Amino acid sequence: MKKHNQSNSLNKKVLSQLKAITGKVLTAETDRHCYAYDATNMHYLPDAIVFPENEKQVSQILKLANDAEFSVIPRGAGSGLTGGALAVKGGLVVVMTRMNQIINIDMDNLVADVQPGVVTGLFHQRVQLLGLYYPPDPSSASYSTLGGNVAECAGGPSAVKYGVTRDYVLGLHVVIPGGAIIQTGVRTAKGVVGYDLTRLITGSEGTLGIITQITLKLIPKPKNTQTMTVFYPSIQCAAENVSEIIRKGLIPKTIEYLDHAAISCMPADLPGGIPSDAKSMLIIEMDGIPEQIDKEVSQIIELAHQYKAISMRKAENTAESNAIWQARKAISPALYKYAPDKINEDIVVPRSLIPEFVNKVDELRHATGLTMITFGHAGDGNIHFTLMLDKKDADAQKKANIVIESIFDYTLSLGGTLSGEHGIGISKAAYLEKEIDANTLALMRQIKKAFDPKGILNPGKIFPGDIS
Amino acid sequence: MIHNNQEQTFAGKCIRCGSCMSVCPIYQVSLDETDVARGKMALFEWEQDHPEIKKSSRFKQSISRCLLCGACAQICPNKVPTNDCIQTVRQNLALNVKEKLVMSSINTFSQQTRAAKLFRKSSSILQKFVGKSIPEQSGLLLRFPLTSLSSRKYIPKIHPVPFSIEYQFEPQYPPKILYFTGCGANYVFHSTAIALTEILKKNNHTPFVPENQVCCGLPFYAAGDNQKATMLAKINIDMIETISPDIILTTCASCGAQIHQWKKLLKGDPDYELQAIKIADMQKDATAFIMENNFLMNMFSPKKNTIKENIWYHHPCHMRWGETQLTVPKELFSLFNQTNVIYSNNQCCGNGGKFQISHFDLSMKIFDERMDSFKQQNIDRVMTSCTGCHFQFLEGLFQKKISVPVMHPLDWSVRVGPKHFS
Repeated sequence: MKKHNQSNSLNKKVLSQLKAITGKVLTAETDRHCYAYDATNMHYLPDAIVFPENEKQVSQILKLANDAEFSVIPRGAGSGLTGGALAVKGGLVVVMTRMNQIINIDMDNLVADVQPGVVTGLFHQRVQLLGLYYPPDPSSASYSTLGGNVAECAGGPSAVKYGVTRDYVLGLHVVIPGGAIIQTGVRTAKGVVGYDLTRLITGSEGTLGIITQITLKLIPKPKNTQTMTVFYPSIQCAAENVSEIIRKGLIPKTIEYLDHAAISCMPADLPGGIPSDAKSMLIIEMDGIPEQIDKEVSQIIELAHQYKAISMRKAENTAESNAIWQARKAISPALYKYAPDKINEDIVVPRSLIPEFVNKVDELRHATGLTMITFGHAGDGNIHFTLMLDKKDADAQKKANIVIESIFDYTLSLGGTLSGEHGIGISKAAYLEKEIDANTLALMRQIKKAFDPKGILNPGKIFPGDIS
Repeated sequence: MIHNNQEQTFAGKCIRCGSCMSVCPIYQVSLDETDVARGKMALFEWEQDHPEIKKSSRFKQSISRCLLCGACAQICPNKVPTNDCIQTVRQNLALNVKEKLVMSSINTFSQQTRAAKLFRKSSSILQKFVGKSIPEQSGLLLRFPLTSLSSRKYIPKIHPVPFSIEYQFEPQYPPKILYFTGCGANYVFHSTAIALTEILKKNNHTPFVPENQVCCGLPFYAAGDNQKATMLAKINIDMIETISPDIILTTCASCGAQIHQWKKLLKGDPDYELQAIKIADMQKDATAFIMENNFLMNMFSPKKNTIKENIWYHHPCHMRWGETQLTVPKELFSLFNQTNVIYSNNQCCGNGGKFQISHFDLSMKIFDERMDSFKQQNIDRVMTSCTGCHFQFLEGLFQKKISVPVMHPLDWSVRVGPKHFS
């Protein structure tokens, strides 16, 4: 539990002004504790919480905040993994979940206008009923919001073929500090008028403005999907097989990779079972027209044999396929069986270099004796490197810090990046300078200042040194 | 069963991932984190070093806003027993006045005392006046009809004589079948009880339906009154022991689930623990029992089956989670192959026992969310196997002015089935 001095600027007068805007301001201790966390499981108590219901209210809130100089922390479902929604310096949490309308789905032009509070999974269902497809599929899709997904530029397993959230954001309505409402981007397939602020704001982690409306690109829903599971006798076999699949020009919708420790977090009733000598696993999903899928499946089976696969299995129906994905989603939280604390880094390396990365982890594991797990979206090189430890164990914590540093350094030396989809937030701010050079970082700070001269919006995030 | 203050340890295992938000019926309506399990777990963790927070009205409100449907515990990737944690905290909180009144009236209602009999008799007469001017202090605030403290509008008929007293048949065995009617079938939905006993009788089984059975205790347990719940469990266990049955059938999913709670409530009790475990093993959902033994097949000829209906089947929470988990009774409906059944099998109806009394508007809002897809179908009949869900549909449909009958699946199979068959 981190403490902070209540920001004096959120005084009684300001609270009553806020109440005049949104009708309700929560300040009770009970409420504040329920908006003090996100999926990092860190805890920073905000001073107050509001639930705006329209763009105008958001604008009024940000004008008041700029005038009275209090911090504003935008929040979607609070399911982020790097602390983007945490009130690290106290202030006002602005919860966007009540702006949850799907405004319009344009079937002729394949675009949708949505409010930021729409739950991603519900949006998936809605467009699917219309024969359309919105590919970004973070693990949290059944509860995270589209606004949060855009702010963090969420990814997901299907990124290997379909890209991430930013590839589907055509335009935005954003309220910036001071209350001005800006409209970025287009509603068309192309558009090069002015700077691309849409891409700048997508993934800006709520530090530049509060998103109040999103125009999303949709695509036709692929006719069929085929999920399959393949088990290997070693991590290297699986990693090399991934590289080979890509090299051969096959682009599955998904290639998920799991090491031995991750496999043992899967439920025993996984369709087809888990071979006892399996040291790693791939979950591969193809989509498209049936003939094309069949052809790709047989090519993948052939490749898997070359890489010494112990067993492979095609899901026989949707229920089996769903069970496989449920098991995959259960891994991340189930890792706590190894130790009470988790350090999770979603680094990305060039796909062809996954075997090198996995070898490096092996080396570090042997050198330190710490529990390390690698799993994730191998198809796009996005490996969830996870270190399980007891943070009360000072020695383990010290070793872990060294491991994380070496993992980051090695990732960058391979031409990779520190975060594929979770963002920087507060969790990775200290490492930002490893990847971003001084000139670029200085320019980023200037951009932040141009949007938010008083630094009221989501302070302490992304940039190193802003919080201790 | 979680002991006092253990909820804090369990809450510490919650990693705030947010999975519970995707299933919590209350959160999905309120979008308020104080309603969802991870919010409550955060509060319990905080409470560990700051017990004074328990005194705040906002904290109490948060704890009261839970249906105990168990969906969050089921989906929790870390297997935190969230619903048990919340129930444990409820034990330690004083009930608010409304809830206390409701509890005391259920208590009166569900016991075989003279006062209770008088009370039932008078309440069926008083029904006529309900919705007008029954004073709040009248005590006629039952789980069932007379919840004048809430905005309940639908008043079902209470039978002046409980089914267990009306039932006159000499038990035939083996096997010794005890029918635990629950308050719903005993006092209000006699047709459910009649359907079950009729099916059994046609298959040469006549169950015991003891007059001295009392409330299963769930409303009290849900309100955190473990003392009362334990007391009722003991009365029921004594009653069951005198018959010493082979099977205990229930037609209410909630009663069935509560019978399994008895062994947790009585854990460590030298006189009752073993009996409670034995009794839990005997409990069986009546519909499942009937289907397993092909009792309906023996009664009807499926060939003559011509019934064409659109049925909305609601699967109760107490059949979706925990020890009384059952799949939807597809086999039952498959006997009637021209019926079209829509299974609303993954959402709570919003009743949650006493929840609909203390939080009536919210409860109805949860129900209304479910109704969006209901209205688009041309539903002829609603079916569910839980007294709470049954009442919720009666009330919700009544308020929406949708005139569709609600009944237990067994009631339907007997009452509607033969008419079309014979």
